[in-house]
Amino acid sequence: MGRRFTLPMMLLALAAPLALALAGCGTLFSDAPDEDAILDGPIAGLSRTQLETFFAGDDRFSERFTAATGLGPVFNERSCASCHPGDGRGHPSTNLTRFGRGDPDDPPRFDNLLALGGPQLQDRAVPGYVPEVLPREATGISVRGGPIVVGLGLIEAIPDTAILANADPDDRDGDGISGRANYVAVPEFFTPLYDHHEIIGGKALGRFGRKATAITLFDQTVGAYHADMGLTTDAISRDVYNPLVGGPSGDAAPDPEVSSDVVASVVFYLRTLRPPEQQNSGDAEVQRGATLFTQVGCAKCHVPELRSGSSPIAALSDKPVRLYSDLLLHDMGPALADNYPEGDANGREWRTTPLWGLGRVPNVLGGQAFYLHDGRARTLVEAIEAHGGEAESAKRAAFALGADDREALLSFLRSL
Amino acid sequence: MIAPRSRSRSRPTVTALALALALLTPTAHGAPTSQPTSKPTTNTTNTDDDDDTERARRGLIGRLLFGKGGAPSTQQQPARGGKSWLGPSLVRRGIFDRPYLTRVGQAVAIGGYIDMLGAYQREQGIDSFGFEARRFNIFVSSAIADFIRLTSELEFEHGTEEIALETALVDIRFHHVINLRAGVLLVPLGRFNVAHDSPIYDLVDRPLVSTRIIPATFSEIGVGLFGFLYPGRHTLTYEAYLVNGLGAGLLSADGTRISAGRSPERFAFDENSSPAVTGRIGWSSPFGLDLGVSMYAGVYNKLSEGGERVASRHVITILALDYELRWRRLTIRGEAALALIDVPPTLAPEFAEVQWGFYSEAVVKLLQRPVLVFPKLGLFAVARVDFVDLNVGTQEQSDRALGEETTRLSLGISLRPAPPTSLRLVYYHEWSTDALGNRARAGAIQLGLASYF
Repeated sequence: MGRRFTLPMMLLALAAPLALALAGCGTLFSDAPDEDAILDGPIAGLSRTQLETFFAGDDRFSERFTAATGLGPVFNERSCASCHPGDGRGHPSTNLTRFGRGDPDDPPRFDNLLALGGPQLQDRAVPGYVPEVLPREATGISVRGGPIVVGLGLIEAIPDTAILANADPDDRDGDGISGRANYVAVPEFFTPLYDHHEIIGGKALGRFGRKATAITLFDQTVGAYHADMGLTTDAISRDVYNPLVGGPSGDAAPDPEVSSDVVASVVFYLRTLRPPEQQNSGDAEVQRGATLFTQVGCAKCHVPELRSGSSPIAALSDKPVRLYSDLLLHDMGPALADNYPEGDANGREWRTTPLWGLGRVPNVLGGQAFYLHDGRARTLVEAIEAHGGEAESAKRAAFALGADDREALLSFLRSL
Repeated sequence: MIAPRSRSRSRPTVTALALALALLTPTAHGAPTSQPTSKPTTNTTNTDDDDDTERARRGLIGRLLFGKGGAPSTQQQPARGGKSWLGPSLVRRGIFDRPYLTRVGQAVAIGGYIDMLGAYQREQGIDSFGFEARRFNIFVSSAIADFIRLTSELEFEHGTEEIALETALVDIRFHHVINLRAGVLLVPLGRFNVAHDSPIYDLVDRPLVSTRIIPATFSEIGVGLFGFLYPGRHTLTYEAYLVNGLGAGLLSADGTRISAGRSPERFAFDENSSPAVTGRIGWSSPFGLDLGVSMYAGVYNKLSEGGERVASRHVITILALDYELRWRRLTIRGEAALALIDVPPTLAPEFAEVQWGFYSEAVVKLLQRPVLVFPKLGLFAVARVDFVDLNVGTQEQSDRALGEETTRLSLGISLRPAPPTSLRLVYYHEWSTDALGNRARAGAIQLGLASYF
């Protein structure tokens, strides 16, 4: 058999894999995914220096911590990306739990059970430490997943006045939709980023988080490092711990466990993640769905567009923000109530969740979809069905639509 | 393949055990006076076509350990680039089955291999291209006495980026059925870890299961026994060692990563004072089939601090099966491994408790004959399939299987201008999923050169 081989044949055999590879470059090598299908990527208009910071922040956002690098001693997840895979919403397996005791309609008197490890249940622990368990005393228990994190810089740059313009806490227009701002206590380390961050009586307008309890992305970031991962920063320099199971010295990593420059790069990354563009916006069914979205009343809370004010980052300055949210609190009815007040938000209120990126939720969850604050809904219809309270009339109107119109509405939602 | 020593040279202290086992040898009533091992039907690797029996008989270390003793004469030295130094090896092409051990002085032999490549890869649209000085390894073996041998291997990875002692062991011969080994040894887990020299293989990358689940190259400091039995024309081998074992680093930032449990300090002390156990039983048939079953089990976490117990025991167990079949111009080989990791309950959701994987490859010798200036030029085609699942289980809140799986298909051509030197051109395609099931693909073309020296 060997005798039949000649040198040219050998060379041909050697070149075959190379030729095969070159011939089918697109198939044999892996092309980049469709830009519209993914969420991560910088907003247009960043300088080279800003892009470098963006990618540094991207790396840090994915960094997984260990006990040696400061994780814990008690924690929920080991990296930012665990709860926000691909910068999208988290899988329900990464949901976290907050708890407290008291009247959910009386936020000021609600007890966060700090002495029992509240307000957040850190249900995992580094080796040698004991994770927390939910105390029996808890009456308000809120389970929630990580939200999509794109476009946050634009949200941050929306002036308070633009948000407050949609507020109607006493429902003076009688449409059944109130919309309240959540004014939250300003943390000690708070540094106003924008002129519109007005502090009134030690409080400022919250806009980030499921109940709008974080004022700026910096607050949100250092808060998540601390409560979700047990990591100290210059802003929050003490480890989270449960006084029932040990002191704050549960890990041996020197503080701060996350340096200021790392925090800054992650905040910059979050601030400059581009918002998702609507897909198929020219499609007739999608356009009809957009009209129906407004007609049935969804757009009263899921306000299609706000506008950013001036920003030191030119790419964020004075831009339309098509987030489909008013960033205000609304009573969502008993089915979604968690009986866990935060700031001024009571146990039935949630901040209107921005809908941008809704159609790309499955793209970062292995093709599976999980909707609502805790991922309980597996379809958009289930998610709409769970709406109540101020959204009750809009939900009924949506379900009253004919089959074609309902499909158009869903097509529009999937296009976001 | 091994030449057991004559009975008269056996030590009385081990004779009782040895005698029982020696009944399994071909001579039935005593250890054979010359090598008795079975003769494979074909050459397994592609470095030469020597008769294994002859190689074993001529090998320096084999002679020192199981032959007539003493260093071989000058006439017995293999010519460089020709005959190999071969000795008793528990696995074909293992550390005593290397062709290029060249004698220096009366009792020292040296050799080594080099492994380098250039690669173009694209993963999800992100290109990378570059060259890599992957390994430069040096072997030194020494006959300390006619019944004691030392073998060592030093690896320079990526130039001098990482310098590691892979092997530094001493074997003391008692009888072919029972011998002592101590030092820095290769954990006998699967076949690849103990026969991992790059020039043996015809693809550029190591098998995924052999690096991600069996953390090749997996060396440990320890002590144990090994030996050979010869029932009929078959060869049975065994190895059993106590070693320091993997450390808690295997619960790494990236999740359960067994290779991260090889702490650099593991050659110095056992952080939990609880040795791990490892062993392998191998069977070589006279018709070209070798099989092996092997295991590793040990506590990986720190148990006490300042004399106080601070944690309960958490054990990692790895089971492996390996095979090699040689039939005419075809060699098929592979291994599978299953890892069971006892993860502390406080970390269990974060870290995999079960991992497994396998690889299987087929090598076909297309030709081996004089061509131009090459007296023994060889051309081989090779195909391999790799699979590893680094997190076996199902997702919480859905019944979907956890991801962290990688499947790779590799195709290559290996040109051997001389048997110990392989110039290979390889294409591979890889499909992977992360823990959530998000899919990614990668493709690469590699040009590699590996050679013994």
